Amino acid sequence: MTKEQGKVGVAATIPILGKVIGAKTLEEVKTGRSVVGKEEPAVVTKPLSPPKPR
Amino acid sequence: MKTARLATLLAAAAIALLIHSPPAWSADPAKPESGQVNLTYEAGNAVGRLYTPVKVITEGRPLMIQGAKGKVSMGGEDVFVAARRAGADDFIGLDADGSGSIDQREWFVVKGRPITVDLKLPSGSSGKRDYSVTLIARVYLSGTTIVAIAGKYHVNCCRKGAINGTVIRIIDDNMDGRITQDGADAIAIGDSPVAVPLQAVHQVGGKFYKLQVAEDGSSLTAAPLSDVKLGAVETPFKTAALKCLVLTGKEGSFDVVTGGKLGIPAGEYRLAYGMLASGQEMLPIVPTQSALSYPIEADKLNVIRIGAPLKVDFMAGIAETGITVSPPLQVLGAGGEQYAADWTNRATQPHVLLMNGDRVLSDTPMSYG
Repeated sequence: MTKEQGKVGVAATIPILGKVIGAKTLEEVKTGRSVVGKEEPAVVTKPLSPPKPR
Repeated sequence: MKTARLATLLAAAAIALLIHSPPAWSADPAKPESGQVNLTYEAGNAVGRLYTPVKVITEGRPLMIQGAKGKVSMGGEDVFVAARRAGADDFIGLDADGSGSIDQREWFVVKGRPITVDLKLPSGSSGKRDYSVTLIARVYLSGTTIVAIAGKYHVNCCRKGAINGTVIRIIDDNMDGRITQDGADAIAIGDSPVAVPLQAVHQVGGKFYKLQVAEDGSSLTAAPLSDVKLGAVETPFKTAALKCLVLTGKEGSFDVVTGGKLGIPAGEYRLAYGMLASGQEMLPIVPTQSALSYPIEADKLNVIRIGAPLKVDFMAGIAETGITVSPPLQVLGAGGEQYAADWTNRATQPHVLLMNGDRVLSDTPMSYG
């Protein structure tokens, strides 16, 4: 098991939403830094009504 | 001659305008007018049933007294609070009438249930004003000596009025005795059980109004706004358990579960709070320092990032004896919001996992110590 593959996690069951898991790689645990993935935008906008067919 | 008559008419019209008192609310809901609303005191279930930001986010203000007596700020005044033990029962007393002492009828037995107390707080030079609080507190003993009174308390009263026929309730949510429109206090509109942070602009009866509330909560003025640029708001939640999701910003505060489809004024918002509820179970959604800011665009459907995927955030370290996982545990959503689960219930006790990739190698109930 490598540092990249090895993880420590916590699983919790919360009301209404059920089971939730969080995990950190051993590298993240060792350095205390999280690997940040690609951030999605806070808001995705869409047109209010679908475009009319041509 | 014509000029003189016109001047007379204009003068008469000006006098008529001057002596005209603030207009009453129009009988025609389609033609709302600006107007002043007198607000009256209300306490009891109509207020107690409301979600408010303070009740949801922190379950009230902390009540902490070292020893058997002390003072607690309620409605902007220090109220004398004390505890005593009689037989097997603990009692908490409040100087509810401001007499300077706690009378026999001002003592309440502590049995883990909320205690609601109606207060008479000082007002002006010699007057009194009504105020009501609900507290859940415990008396802590060392042997037979009371060492502390601790718990939480929140406001249980409001100032009530109606704007164009729709009931509104203004709540001194931060319990400082003043009504401010900076989000520290709250407003509940119509039959909704959701009180939102009180700002300048609110949607009342399907229309947007700019409100100006007197600091003492005695009255407000409301001016309808026209040409408000609205953006529709949608959340990714697919569950009917989402009872409210309140966004707040300079443009106002709005519950997007009930008002998101109709739209809210365009602008920058952040999460005030939310609530998931199913049967007897409730799960508050509360903002964190890392919660997102949502720029809402006009004339668009704005899908905000919140909810799934959820993750458990925790502290972990590598020690000589192995890996340690330590509280606080937080369940966080995609918008940085927190799902405030009660970890004290053993049925929801978290488990620690050791994993290789996505494969779980060990799964152990979390133990403390």
